[in-house]
Amino acid sequence: MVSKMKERKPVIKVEELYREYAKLSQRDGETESIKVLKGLDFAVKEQEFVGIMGKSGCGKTTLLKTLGLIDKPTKGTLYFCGRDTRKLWNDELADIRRRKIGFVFQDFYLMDSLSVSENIMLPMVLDKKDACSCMEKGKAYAGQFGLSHLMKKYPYELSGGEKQRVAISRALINDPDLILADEPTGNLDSKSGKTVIDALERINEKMKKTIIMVTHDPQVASRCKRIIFLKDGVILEDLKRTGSEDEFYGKIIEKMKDL
Amino acid sequence: MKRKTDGEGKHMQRLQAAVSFGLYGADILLSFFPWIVIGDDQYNLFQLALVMKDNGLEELIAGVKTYADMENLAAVKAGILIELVFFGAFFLCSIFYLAAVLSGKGRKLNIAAFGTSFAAYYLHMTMSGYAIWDITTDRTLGGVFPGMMTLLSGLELMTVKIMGIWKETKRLSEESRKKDLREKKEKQERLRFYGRYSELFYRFVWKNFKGNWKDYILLLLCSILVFTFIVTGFGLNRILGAKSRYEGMDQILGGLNGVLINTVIPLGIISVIIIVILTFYYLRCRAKNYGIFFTLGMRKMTLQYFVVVEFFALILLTFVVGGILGTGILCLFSAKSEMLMGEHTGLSVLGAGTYFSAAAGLLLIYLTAFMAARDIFYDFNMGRGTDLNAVREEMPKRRQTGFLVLGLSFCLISILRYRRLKNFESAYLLLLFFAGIYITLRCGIARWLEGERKNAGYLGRLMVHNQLFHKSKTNTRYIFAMAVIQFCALFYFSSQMISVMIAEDGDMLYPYDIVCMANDEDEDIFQRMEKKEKITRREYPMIRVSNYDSTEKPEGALDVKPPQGQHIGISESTYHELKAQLDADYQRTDLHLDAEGKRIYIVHQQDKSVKAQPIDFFMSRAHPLLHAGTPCINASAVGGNIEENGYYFKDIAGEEIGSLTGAFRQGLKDNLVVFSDEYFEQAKELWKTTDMTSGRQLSEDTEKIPGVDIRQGPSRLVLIHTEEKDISGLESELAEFKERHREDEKYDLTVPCYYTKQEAIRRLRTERVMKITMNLSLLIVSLFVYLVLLSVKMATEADMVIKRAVFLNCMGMRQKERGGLIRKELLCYYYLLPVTVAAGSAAVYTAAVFYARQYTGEDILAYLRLMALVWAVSLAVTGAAAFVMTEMYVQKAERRKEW
Repeated sequence: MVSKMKERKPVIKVEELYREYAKLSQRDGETESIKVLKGLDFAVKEQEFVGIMGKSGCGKTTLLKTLGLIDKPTKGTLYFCGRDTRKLWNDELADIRRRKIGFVFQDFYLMDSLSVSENIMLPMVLDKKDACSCMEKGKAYAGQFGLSHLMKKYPYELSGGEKQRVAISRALINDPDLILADEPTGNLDSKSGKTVIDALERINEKMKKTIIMVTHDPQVASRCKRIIFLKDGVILEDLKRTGSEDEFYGKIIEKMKDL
Repeated sequence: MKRKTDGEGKHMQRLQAAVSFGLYGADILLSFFPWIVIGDDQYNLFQLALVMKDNGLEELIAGVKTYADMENLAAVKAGILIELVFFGAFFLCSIFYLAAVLSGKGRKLNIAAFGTSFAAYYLHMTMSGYAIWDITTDRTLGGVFPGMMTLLSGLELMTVKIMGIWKETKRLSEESRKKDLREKKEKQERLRFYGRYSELFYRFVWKNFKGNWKDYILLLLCSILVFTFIVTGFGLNRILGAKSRYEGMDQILGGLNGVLINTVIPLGIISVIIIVILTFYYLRCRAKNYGIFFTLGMRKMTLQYFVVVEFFALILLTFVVGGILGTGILCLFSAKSEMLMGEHTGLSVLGAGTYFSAAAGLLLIYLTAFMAARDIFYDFNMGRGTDLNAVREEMPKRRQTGFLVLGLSFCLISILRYRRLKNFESAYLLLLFFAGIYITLRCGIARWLEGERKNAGYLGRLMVHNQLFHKSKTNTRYIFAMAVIQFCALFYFSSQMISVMIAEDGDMLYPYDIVCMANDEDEDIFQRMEKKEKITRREYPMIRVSNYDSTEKPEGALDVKPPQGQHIGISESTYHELKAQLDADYQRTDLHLDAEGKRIYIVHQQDKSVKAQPIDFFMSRAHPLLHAGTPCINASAVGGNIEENGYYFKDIAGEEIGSLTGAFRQGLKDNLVVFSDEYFEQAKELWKTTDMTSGRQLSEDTEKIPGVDIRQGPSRLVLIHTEEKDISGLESELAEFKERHREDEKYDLTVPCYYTKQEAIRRLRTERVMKITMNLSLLIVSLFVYLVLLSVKMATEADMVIKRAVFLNCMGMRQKERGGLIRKELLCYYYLLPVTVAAGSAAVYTAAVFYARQYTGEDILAYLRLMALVWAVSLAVTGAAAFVMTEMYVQKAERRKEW
């Protein structure tokens, strides 16, 4: 088992990652540069469940957008499954997003004009898969997450927890290597939140998927195997889970005081 | 590392060697050519050297007339020797170079060879008196041959170099081509996306598009409306703009084109605003879905393809439906105008060009809209942590009072200037007013909100003010845009329409049936007319008066001579007589004119619907720049004293708006310029001493040849009363009169030598129908644009309003109160406030127009009666529509809240 762990390859590896934004100052009308990420170095290996924590504005979402290849770093290197993303064309990045990455957002990002089943199938359809396999796989995932009875409904007819489960099913349908979740329980009540985090844990353990999740909630974070604490765009601590969930929760609470 | 020479390289080397051998071979042969001619003998370079060595220079040139410095023969000898050394060096270099080329040991010697040949030639040509050239008796041959040598060696150097560079360039370009090909192949391989999209894909895309169907329809309808107006505008221009079968159409077209321009410009601005706002709004609505596609990995090209298809379909539908509607309106106009103006008006037929121009216009508007919405294309707002709707907009804080005063000053300056006739109700003043209104609204609202926060009852009104406070910039812009649109409807378009409705009828505007600008030689024509038909003739002395600039264009491009205008100059006595002719009770009053002609009185011959305008637009319009005579085409105000050209800045002693002889050119031309009787007598004679092209005074009698140097122009103002039916009987005389006065009309065809009332009334009727139709359409469009703005504002804030309704419900606010909050917010800030600003400003500007156009009490009363009706209908319609829309909005917010 130990030897197997050692063999795991990094899905994501970042070296000296910087991200800056230009902002027009309202006071003097000049453009100022805002450094959001300041030289991050870390790697996330296969089957890891990594949480990213930090105060508002510390760069969590920017980091997630960069890891998800939606945004490009200003400086530094980002390797996805060993490939240097700087050397990839935009369409290749789109292909990676479609096939290798699943996204789960706090606001769900479901299409109101498509039904639940259509929302789940969307990434497969965009990948030019045939209609039969799309429908088959869509049904299977909906079944796994208890959505079978909602297939013909539209997102505006669902509860928050149901919407998030649809989003998770959609994220999984193309069998990606990495799931990126941006505060997936942020808009949910505690019961729905628990269902969602249980689902993510199951995906990590049973389906062997790598997950990177941004969260504010220490309870949710304690379900991760590793937490990266961000402060002002730099890594404050890279905490690995040892011991029980409760012990890990205690450590997270302790660390959060430094944020 | 030595580069391996390939087959192509060897071929190039062989070619280079061939060139070198060819050119240097010729050079060597030239060295043996006996080009040095001394008397009867000819020598080549070697022979010359030998002869000089054996016999000496003196003997060589004995008995021959040379150009050498014979008093300094030693120096000549030295010069020739130096030259021979250089030629010798060139010869040796050439030989060694060819040997090197043969053995393939580099090519640098050709530089040395060229250098020596150039030096030898330079010495040959420049050592005047001491060179071989100076001892040759055939100077042509002596000059050409050494030059040929230098030329050939230079040519060789250049050709070989270019061949070398060509070789290198070709190699590099081949390498680059191969690299590009490799990269292209690699890119194709890496980006290959096999297979076809399933039917599900197209169904999803269609459903997604259908999700924003209402917004698309709104954009489509507005787009069709705009295109219909563009087609109508271009079509009318085409129909009325082409040359007609009748000469009189020129005059009609002048007025009609003015109406069209006045219509097209505001219409264009409104079209751009409406399309930009709706496109921006539509793309914002679609951005969320585009963003989901993008994040889930749809390729950008595919995404862009769907955006393009959506807009392509929209534009295609717009072209078809808008084109049909526009054509329908134009057909209707043609049919009705034939009825109004008679078949003889000869309208032109629409062509494909009209539709192409209209389509280009619409595409330009969309291009502007896409440029305004470009950020949406670049960023689909995906995964953004910040909700853009939640970001607070800063209110102006610094120098608030200063800006407020500035804004109010702009408004005040604009209004005060607008009421002055000399400012011709300028559109620039309206733009200044809009700038002032924006600054005032921005700073005024900020100041008021700050004051409110300090008030004890602030918390009670917190919810109503919150949105205005939170999004101060966006909401102020909405209020401003709505106020401007309403102002256009209530003032700009309605005043143009109403003033036409109250304008004088034809009989008052054209008191005489025929007006001729004649001279003494025309007496026979008038006598024949009197014999032929029953006419009454009145005659007054006149002179032509020209003004320097008859265009509204702002000054600045002074290097261009502006088109001059032409008016009728009369004496004070004539003025009083003309007045008395029209009004039996007229009391003669002094016009306070001077004998020097500095002070003038102006009668702007135009009706009440035409905007007040000065007689001359050059520089200071308060002092028109006038010339007593026909326009001098060479007169220029650039870089000289314009008074030398006989153009003088005059003081206006008084002016009135009205018609004494006929408002044929509606205040643009043929106004009456009244001089004192003393000056008029002098001015009548001025033409005899004035150069007709430059306007300068002529002193010599030889320079005063009539028709060549000087020309009188019209001198008699002939006013004829006759029956309408008799005018046709005078056609031949009028045609002859026109023929005699071709020269008078040459400068400006729109100032003819005679006018008829019949023709003028026909033109007036057409213009008025056009003006009313156009302005009424624009008024309706403006009100519609206001409602579109209101609906866009409601739609963009709908989510926020629903969330707020949920929140307020949770906080225990009653439904009635929640509805009241939305009503108060929308109706107070986005109906009452803009309407109050617009109506207040429109009232002030209407008063300014009354003043500028010198309306009488009766005119004002008639105007206000119609204005009250137009305003009441406009405000009631927009008010009712705004109220219904607000109610629907309240219901929507409450309905959505429930689940």
